[in-house]
Amino acid sequence: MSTKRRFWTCAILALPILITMFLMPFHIMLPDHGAVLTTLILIIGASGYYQSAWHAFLHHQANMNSLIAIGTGVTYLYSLYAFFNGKDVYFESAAFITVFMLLGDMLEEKMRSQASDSLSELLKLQANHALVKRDDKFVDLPIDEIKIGDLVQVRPGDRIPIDGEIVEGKSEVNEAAITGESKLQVKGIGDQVYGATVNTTGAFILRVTKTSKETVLAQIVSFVRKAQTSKAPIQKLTDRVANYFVPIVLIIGIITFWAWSMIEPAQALERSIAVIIIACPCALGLATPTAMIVGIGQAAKLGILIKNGTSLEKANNIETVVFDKTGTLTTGDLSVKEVTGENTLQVAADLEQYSEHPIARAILKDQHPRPVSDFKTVPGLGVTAKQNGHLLMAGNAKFFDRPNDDRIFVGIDHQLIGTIKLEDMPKSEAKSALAQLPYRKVMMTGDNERIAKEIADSVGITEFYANQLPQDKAEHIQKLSNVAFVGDGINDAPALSVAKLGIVMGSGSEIALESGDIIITNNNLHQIKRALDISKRVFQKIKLNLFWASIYNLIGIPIAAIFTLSPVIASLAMALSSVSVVLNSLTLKKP
Amino acid sequence: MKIIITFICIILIVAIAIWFMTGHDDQEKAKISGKKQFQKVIVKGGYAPNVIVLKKGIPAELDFDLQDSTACLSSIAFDELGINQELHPGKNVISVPTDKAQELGFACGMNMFHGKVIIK
Repeated sequence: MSTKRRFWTCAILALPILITMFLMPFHIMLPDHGAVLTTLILIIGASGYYQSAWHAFLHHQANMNSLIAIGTGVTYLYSLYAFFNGKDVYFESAAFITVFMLLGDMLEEKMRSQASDSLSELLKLQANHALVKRDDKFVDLPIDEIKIGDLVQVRPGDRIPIDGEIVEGKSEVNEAAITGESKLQVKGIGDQVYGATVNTTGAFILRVTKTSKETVLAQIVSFVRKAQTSKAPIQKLTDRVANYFVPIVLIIGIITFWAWSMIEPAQALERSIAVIIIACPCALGLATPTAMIVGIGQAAKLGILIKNGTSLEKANNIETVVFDKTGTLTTGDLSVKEVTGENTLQVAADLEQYSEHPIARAILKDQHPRPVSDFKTVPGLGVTAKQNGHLLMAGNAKFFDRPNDDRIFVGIDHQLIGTIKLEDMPKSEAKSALAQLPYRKVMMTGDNERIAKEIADSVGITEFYANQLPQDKAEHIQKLSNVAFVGDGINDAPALSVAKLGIVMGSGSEIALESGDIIITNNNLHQIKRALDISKRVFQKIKLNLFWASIYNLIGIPIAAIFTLSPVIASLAMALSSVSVVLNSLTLKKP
Repeated sequence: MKIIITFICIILIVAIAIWFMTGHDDQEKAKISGKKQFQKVIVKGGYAPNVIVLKKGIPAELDFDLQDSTACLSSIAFDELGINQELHPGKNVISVPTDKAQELGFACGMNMFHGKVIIK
């Protein structure tokens, strides 16, 4: 029987007992039903707790169910004895305790399924079918039958079914499903598109690059799932406490019993049962997981992937943010900034037309290269090729015997004809995004001082280090305190390993998923503040939950032991503390 | 009467203290057969054994034999591996990566029973 069914069944069974309690002041008595109803309630509702407690006991362990089992068990057995001996019975205690415990469990289950909803929402975005080319036609096939290299047709308005590279056509795509950002991305031949994103008005054919199980979406889902089941260090602590907690509570219960039997024996049983019940740390077990599941799920929707509970905790204490320059603060794309000489770009384009290097891409933009032959690379210096009997050359300053300079030198037949200056532009949102971060900001780059200063100035950073090798970056980070390092993950290994928190900006690539504590999938620097804020909110929520969960216990135990607290009220308080923890965590869903 | 109660209470307290303190880990080394190593863990009122020693570098398979019917033990979680799955009554095979020497904890769904895998 499901927890929900169990709860409602027992609640209905408990109704007559409740009614009796209300009718008592009016001296209306219903026939004796307490014993029978309670027996039924315990069998239907509480048997799970008894079994669990017993098995744990055999292993020399105690868990939360042990407290419930002992509480209700002792109450019931004593009430049976009292029933047959004309003394006061306490059946309603056992009955209501069971009902309220089931209420708490039911809410916990509901919450777990609601939380994994954000994951199943992500999964729903996965298409089931696609138009795949077979022989010469496009046929509708289930997604699992698509192989890498297949051609898939995507029409206007379609949700892109699988990861691939466009080979024909172009369009604009809404990648919000993966990156959280709804600004349309222009996609043309050679561009990557991702499954679950939405195609708008264009149409294209893509060549499949990943199977349905390996798409970026699938990876993100598995990543988030792992994160949601991970434990924050603070929860490992609460687990350990729980282990000693229960036997200690039992002992306190026995002491309470003893103390009251010396003073006022009639109260002894009730007092000790109340202590045992109110001490039940059920909500404590909920405090961290509920907040983490909701929080991490929400963040994932925004394109912020938090690796696990430890990352959350680390994000809470950040004081300094260190930025890698290229690819993080800058777009990573070089563009031609300044050209000297005539024909320089044309000659350079002729030489670079077969190269995949980012330098080549920048030079080739808007150029029409002419054919060359005999292309040669001169290691460390540059490249040459022959054209119409002339030798075309391009390379660094050393290649042309010039003093050190970071421009590209271009020449024909060993004569310099001009230079090209390429530069990396800062991301357009960089300045405003950084201005919003209330931390100490530092930039590090392998580039020279001049370039570093230009970029630092344009994004508003005053502290920067140039000419840094990866190990240098790591050394500097170690000298700073509580550092979050932001990079693109590809060559940041040393820095990421020494920083307290690693934030990787990227489009959910495999490299990023492996190396960062927090992955930002849409490359927008504004997400950094968002990510850190969300982490802080979740962590605060966890602390608040722990507070709510334990306050009931801490206040309750002395009250139950020393003053008056009916075991029924005690169990109601327990259910309430579980409810408040769950509700509190759900408020994380609001922005 | 009061003396009897006092006496019983003291005995109970001592009994509880002793019983819950004397829990001990049930440790077993996995058996290597061919290119893999195996260990069966009986899930009944807990995990037996609850500490499994694996040799680093050899792929490992743990068979969780579910013989318990309570809610918590019917699912198992390896936090560090991101595994959280339902167990079916009887045989359930879980592969554990042994490329790194480390300790991996596992627990039942509601965290009431624990165990660990030591890779060395």
